[in-house]
Amino acid sequence: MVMLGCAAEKERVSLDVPAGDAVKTLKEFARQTEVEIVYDLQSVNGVRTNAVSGRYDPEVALRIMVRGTPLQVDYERETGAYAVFREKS
Amino acid sequence: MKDVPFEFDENSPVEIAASEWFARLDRGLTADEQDRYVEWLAKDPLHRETINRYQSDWENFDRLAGIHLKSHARIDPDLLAPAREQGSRWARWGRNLAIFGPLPFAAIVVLTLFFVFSGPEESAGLKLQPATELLARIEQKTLADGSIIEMNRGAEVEVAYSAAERRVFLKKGEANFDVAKDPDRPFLVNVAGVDVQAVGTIFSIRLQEDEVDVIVTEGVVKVKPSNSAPAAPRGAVSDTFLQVGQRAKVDIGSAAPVINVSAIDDREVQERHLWKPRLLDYDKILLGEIVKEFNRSNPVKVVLSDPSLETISLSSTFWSDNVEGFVRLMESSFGMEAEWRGSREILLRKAR
Repeated sequence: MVMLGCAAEKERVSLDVPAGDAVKTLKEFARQTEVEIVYDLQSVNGVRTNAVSGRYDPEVALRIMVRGTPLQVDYERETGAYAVFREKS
Repeated sequence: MKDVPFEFDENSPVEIAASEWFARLDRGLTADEQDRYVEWLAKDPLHRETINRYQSDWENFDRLAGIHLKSHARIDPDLLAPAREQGSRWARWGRNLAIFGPLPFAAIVVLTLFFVFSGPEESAGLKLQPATELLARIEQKTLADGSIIEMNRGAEVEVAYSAAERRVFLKKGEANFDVAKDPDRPFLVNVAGVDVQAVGTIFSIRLQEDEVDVIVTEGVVKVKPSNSAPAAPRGAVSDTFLQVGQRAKVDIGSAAPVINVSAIDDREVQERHLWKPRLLDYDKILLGEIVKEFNRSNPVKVVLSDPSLETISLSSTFWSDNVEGFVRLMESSFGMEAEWRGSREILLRKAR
């Protein structure tokens, strides 16, 4: 399948991150997918992320993890790094 | 951008697509769907924004309805497909931690490779980019024999492997060489008329205007003027062997280059290698501290305008040479604005 832009450089990775405290699970996500990520601890404090297991594009995996939580995913396409933040209400 | 109130048409194609993807995410994506989802996300920044908005709308809805969400991703049917070629830098990082890990023995391959440092493409985002080249990521090349060359920004390297020897030319700048063991085929870097030879060794060379500077981090290298250099008659200058903890400086300005060897301590070695990417991997670090870490490694420095920014507590897994990505994310997700001040300084401040 032909992919466009930066997505072409992203590859699916096997990962298995259980549901849990975002402070820990996001770090575990970074460790398993070997992507760069930054998030501020105040935003993710107390948030519980979903489990994700299988072969995924890292961005998709991250979006599955934060789905249904107040957290959002930001992908920096030039360098392939991620941020997770809380939408200001 | 995210703070601007939205006016949207829920029947627009983007809205419909986003709602469909959102529903699919909930039940898990097949491999094919993932490809299409990633493709869709990449096609237009609006797609990402829309799906993010879905995310927050859903959260509100969820709270109101009191539904407890469960979202386990389905196991991918491609689970047993061959693993991807892992980014070697991460693997290297692991190896760096175990400093004296065994070096791979390499197969003998005859090839000639040429590569030249190339600047990054123009990219949007950061306003004004006088120093794009200075922001470029550090390049790491793995050669056919498994040797690894890390090139500092601006470095130029040419590789010419033959059956008899592995010859590399450092044309410009600074590079670190991690050489795969092959006693039958010496690894030789030619730099401005000086040969640096190694067998299974890690060493760095910096070529400056009037000087070549070599330091060794593992093993031993031999430094000598090239045989091909006209000013260096064969045997006139004896070979100099350089060991861990030593530095050789060769004055290339003079007709007969002289090799000066001196001791170098760990701190100097570390400083000399600061340009090499380090994984800034912190469970908890203040923004002020991580900015310092980036600044230690990069020619472009980040300055925080406001002391209150310094105390933002972050978790980070970032390579020290990706200050550009870091700054962009500070802009897009952390409510900050970046502005160039001169060609080597980026000011970060709270967005107005």
